[in-house]
Amino acid sequence: MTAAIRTQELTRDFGALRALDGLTLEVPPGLIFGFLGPNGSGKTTTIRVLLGLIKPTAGAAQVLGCDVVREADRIRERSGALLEHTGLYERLSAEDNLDYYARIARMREGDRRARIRELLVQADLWDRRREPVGRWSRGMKQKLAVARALVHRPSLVFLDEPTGGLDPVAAAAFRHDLAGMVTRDGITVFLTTHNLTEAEKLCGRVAVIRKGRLLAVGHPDDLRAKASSVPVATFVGSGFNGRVTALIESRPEVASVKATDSQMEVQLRGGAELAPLVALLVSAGAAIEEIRRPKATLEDLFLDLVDDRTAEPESPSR
Amino acid sequence: MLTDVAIVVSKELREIVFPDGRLQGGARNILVFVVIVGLLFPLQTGPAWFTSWMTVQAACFPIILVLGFTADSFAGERERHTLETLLASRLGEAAIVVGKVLAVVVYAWMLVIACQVVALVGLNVVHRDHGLMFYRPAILLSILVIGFLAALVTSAMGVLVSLTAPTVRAAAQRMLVPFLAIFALPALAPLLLSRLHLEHLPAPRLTPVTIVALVGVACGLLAVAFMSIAIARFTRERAVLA
Repeated sequence: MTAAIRTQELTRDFGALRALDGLTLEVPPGLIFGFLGPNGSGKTTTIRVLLGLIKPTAGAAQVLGCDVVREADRIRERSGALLEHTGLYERLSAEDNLDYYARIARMREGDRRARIRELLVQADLWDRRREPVGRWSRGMKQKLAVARALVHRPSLVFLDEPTGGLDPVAAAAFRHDLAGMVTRDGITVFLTTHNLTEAEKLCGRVAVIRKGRLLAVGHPDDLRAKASSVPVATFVGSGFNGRVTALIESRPEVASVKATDSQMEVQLRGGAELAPLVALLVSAGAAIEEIRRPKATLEDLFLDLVDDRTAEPESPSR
Repeated sequence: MLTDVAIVVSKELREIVFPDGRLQGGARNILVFVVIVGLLFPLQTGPAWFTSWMTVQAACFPIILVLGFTADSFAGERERHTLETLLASRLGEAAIVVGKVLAVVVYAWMLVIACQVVALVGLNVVHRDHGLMFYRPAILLSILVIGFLAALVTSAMGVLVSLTAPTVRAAAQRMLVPFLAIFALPALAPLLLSRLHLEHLPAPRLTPVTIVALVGVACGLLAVAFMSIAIARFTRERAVLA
């Protein structure tokens, strides 16, 4: 299957600043691809290059099989975008905003009307279609902006931090709609976000960049597995006295122990197994009711990766 | 490209005529100019309005409106964060520039014509004892041609300035000086010459038709120059990174 997006050593400089530094990645079609990175990491620059809005300094990229430098017009024709801002004309009505972009896409009048109605009904905005959108809430504007990005039925949509500034309810509704859209229409979504929970829930594949360099790419589950597992185990129960604590502390796989009568928090060294410690605790007379060992999340991986002390770029990866 | 230009023109006109999403604000602008240029000026001038060459100059008064609209054309889109989304569409750069220029020209020209229609009706009603009056053909043609070209040159200049200005306010301020140079200086030239006692200097004797033709050619050339520079300057990369 042809990749929706493919970049090879994509580089973009702004004077002395290197915003993209040899970015090589491949986005398969028909899924939500999460593009994660801290502020200023090059996410927006990547979208701008992929849409042919700015040219790369070096390297190459193809979007929907089209070269970003030579065939940028074709890319913009076949893709939709919700960039950093909604880009809505606030003095125009919702209907006029969609109609403008549908006409730009050269949709026929009948098709245009039907599509606008379909999108506004889906977004639950049909009843307010004639209002100037400047009076709307941010959540409503965001929904309309997504509808605008989809109005010409693109096969690829770029969404640059689409839930930024939305309240949790609106953000959850937005995620639900987005997931439904991808399943229903089979489009590819290139999604940049700071919200790692969102990326974990929505994305079939994620990439992490920092200072324009790719740090990791893969399925969220695979990346979580790569994350240094959280080396803490908490035993809840009774009998965690001084003797038991000293016994556990003496084990080579244990880095430190904090205990009260009813709870013992054990900091483990990397890769340590819990089973021998449980057996030891039980044999020493402690009663264990519950063991808590938090699983690594995408956030753990992200924080690991973007940490200046640990970050090492991944070799060009697919 | 023509279809794309027409799409941009219709959207821009919609925003100009319905500035708050309603006709009210736009109608107020139109009404002010129709009353001043379509009624007050002609009624003060009387039936001579249809025969005097000064009418051509007065008829171009609504073009002042162009200043505000063109200042908003690109700087406004940048301020309201709509430009990058527009650039991410399939529209070509030239279609965007030409569309924005023509939208303002169409608006201003229609306003010039509307004012003259109101003047025609108003003067015929007030001076009905003179019988049916109409413009001298040369005057009417000059109003239409000069009105169009003056709107074109102002709009092209404004869009060029708006392209490079960071804000609408900065664009409006930057446009004021060239606007005065183009429109106010020629109008004030006779007064300046007499103040400086230079009116006795030998000058070529020009008929009004020749003056109008020269002004028309100058406006046309300037408009082409401004439009060409604006189209050359407006690239996606420059607009996105500005």
